[in-house]
Amino acid sequence: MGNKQAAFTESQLEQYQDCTFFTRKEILRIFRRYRDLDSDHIPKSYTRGEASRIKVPFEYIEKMPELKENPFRRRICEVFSEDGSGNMTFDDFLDMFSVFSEQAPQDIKAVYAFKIYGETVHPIKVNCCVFHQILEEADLDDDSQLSYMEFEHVISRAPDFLNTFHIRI
Amino acid sequence: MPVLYGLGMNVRTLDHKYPGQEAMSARACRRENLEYLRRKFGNDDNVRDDDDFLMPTDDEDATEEQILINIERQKEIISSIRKQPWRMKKKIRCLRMAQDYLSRYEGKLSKKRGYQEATERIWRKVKRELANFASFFIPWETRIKMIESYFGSVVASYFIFLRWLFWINIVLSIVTMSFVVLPEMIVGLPYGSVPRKTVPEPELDRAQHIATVWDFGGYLKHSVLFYGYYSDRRYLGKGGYQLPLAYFMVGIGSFVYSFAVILRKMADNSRQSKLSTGEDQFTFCWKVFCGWDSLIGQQETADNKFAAITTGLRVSMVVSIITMVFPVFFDLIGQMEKYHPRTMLRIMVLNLGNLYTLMIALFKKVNNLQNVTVAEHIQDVITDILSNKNQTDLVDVLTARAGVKEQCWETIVGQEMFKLSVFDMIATVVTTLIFDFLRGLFVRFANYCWCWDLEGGIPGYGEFGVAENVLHLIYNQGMIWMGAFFSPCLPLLNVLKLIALMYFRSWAVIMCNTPHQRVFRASRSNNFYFVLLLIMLFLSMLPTGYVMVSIEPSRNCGPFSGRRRMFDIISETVKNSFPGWFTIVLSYMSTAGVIIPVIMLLVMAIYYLQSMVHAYKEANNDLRMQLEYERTEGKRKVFEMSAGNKNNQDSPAARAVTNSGNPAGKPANPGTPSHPGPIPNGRVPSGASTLPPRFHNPGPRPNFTGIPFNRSMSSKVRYIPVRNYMNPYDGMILTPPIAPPRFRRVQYTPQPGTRLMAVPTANRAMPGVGSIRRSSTCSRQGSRPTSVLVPEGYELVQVHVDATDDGQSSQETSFVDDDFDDTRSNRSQSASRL
Repeated sequence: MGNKQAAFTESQLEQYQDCTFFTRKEILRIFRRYRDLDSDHIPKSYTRGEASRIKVPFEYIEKMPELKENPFRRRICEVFSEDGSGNMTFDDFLDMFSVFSEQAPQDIKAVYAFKIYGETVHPIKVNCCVFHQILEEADLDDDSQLSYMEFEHVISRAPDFLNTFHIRI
Repeated sequence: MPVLYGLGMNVRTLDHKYPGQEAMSARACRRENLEYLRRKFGNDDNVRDDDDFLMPTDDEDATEEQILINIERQKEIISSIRKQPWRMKKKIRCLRMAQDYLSRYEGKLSKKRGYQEATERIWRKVKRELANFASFFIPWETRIKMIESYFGSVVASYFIFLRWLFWINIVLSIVTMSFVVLPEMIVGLPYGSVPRKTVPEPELDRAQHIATVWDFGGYLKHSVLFYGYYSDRRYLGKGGYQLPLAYFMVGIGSFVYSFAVILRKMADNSRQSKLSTGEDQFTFCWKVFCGWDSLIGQQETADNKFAAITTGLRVSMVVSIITMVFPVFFDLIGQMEKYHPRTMLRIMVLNLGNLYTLMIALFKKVNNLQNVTVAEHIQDVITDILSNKNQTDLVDVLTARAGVKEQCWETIVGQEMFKLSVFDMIATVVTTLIFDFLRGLFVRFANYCWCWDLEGGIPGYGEFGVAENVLHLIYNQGMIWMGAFFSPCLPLLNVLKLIALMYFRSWAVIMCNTPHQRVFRASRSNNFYFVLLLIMLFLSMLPTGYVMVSIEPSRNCGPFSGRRRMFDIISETVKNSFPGWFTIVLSYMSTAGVIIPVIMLLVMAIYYLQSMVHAYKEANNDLRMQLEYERTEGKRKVFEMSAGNKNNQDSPAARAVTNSGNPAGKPANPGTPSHPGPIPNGRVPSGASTLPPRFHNPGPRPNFTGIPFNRSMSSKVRYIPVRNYMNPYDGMILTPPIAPPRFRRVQYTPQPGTRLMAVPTANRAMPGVGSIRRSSTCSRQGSRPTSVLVPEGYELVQVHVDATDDGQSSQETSFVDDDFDDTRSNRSQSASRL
């Protein structure tokens, strides 16, 4: 299909389809969105491994309409970026939206939710009343900390979780 | 490749352990593969740098069996790779390795296997291409996304529901078109050839007036739109297409298909929500972790959402404070927080009543019509007989009268449904325009010269009422289902209607509505709307079913004319087209001797499944209470033991054992002012000698037979670090209660700046589950030697804490039994995780 497919080779697209929950059309659309973030520095064609080298700084990513109102956007980008700084390569970008997509199952969302919220729910960063309430409800072994098992136990029973942990792109 | 050799090794070991490994179930194999993945690549998502993994080796001596198993494993890995929480690089590498192995070893297999693999590969590719192709057909994605970002996922759910209904209607209309309408149009008799297909003489001059067209009369009445047009000839055209049979089957098939689709969607939804019993165990956590709707992309909506979440959190905190003080009010407030679908049910019942009234009125009219027609007919016949003695003329006259006079009640029903649908659309458009658009215009422009703030106060901008609109959609769909049998083109009309509704509503919502002030969640009602839709489908099916079974079809129009009942077409077809024995079998099957046992069997099956569900719910409940028990009572018991041992040192273990399995028994040591008594949550203020009276009587205790544990009685004590006992349940959350371990007393001298830890002796570096640590900080003043109870299998460790401490320290002293053992002290190790 001409220009659009010059962005990736066929095998790259197949790999992406195997590793994410997206179809080919969605992957190309996401690449277009990624390029729009910083079109000066991102080449049109990603066939030679640029996908894991070129990074877009966080300041551009947080201006995306999907993320700009999200209060956890910094933490989300830090979790998905390779070096934890928030600057994301296309691989990380794709990974992020794959986890947030509708087809992703609950367990993988729970893992990433724990990584994202785990940093946020810290007694210093959060109001102490809120923190104690959370511990009271979810802390099962009374160690004043929330482990992944406890978090997963709470989250898997929340009826809202799949709906709210979802970004449409 | 060590990995592959490792693969081979694994397989051999497995063979050794489980001789019948091929018999392992698919699920067990999948688990094995995932375990293997985790073991090889670990849970961390960082790519390892050693490239030894990529060196190829040959697995020549592996038998074909083992290669097959490996291949299966690789395929399993490939299909589950996207579910692993790894970075893209790691996933791609793992994928590439698996694919290399497959490409190398698949070719080595026997020819038959090779062909099988090739076909599977092609099939997978075809499936993927189909999926990619199908994704082109999802309409309105951008539109829904925009609405989501403005209004959140609740309002967007209406549009997603509309889109889903649109698909159902498309399928229904395609089926109807291809099996009923098109054959009739192509192969059936054209307009005007038969009296039933022609506009009768008296009506011809009015046939093109607006009033008639509005009523769907005239030419529209005698067209493929309605039941009356379809021919009743058994075989149509050259190919012998059986139209009446097709009509009947399509009618039934539409209902069956709709049922199947709705049930499948409901099953998907329930699977996702894990059938939580709806109990508000974790309301606070859910508000914190799931409160933010990630789809929101507009400032105003975000602000509203913030306000809502904060209010919600505040309310929850106030609620919990009130819980501590006034247990009685908790239930009341809890009730208010729950989602009340009662109002929705009222609207639903009203709508249904509406539709049913229409059906009853229609049936009355039909009956009247039939009676009137018959009466008139008889009158005319008698007049004709009396006036015209010629036989053949009489027959002609009678047939002419028959063709003209008798009306087609099914067509009338179809017309009514059509009219209803069209008027409903018009009404929706008009009401939306008036109540949202004009109101918005008025508020916007009159605000400049009005005394009070129109935008903020009354009347303000409209809010999108999700519930009313979804119910309107359900009502609309019910109408379609009711009328589809009498008017085959009704689903097609509905498709057009839904398209128009989608564009109109999305324009209206963006233009005239504001995001909700109260941001509420819709997920609880996910299945609720589908249940309503299911009920609507069932109730819409009833009139059609009744008509098919009990009412005689019109004699002069439609595909079933001349038959006694509509479903007679089935028995006719069976008699004509199937072998003789089939008819006999079918007639046996419809006798009471077969039907009644079948019904009894179904009733028993329902009863059995119901009791299974009940049993599972109870088991779930038991487990949940066990969890609560662990949280509160279990700790209390352990603490009692350690506290009680201040007095008698001789039998802590005995007391521990006797107290373990006795939930209903009272603790051995009720507690006196000088010794702490039973403490819920296992906490005691350090140095406290007296306790608030409520701690002495904790109230009703749970036992595992189902008596509900009164949650308001569990005291929510602020956590205060404990000095005097070590928690033996470290690292063992979510396991069934074990017999509490034996304890031994260890003397130690607390020193400032140190931390006490209980470390399992068997394995220092035991992989812990997440971040669990049991420790306590020594107070500054205590430097008298005290003792503490340490559970069996653990040793006490006093860790010197650095100034920049975050749990890591550099020095450790260890205490063994009652001695302060010099030889083992001052072991410098980094602190181990528990």
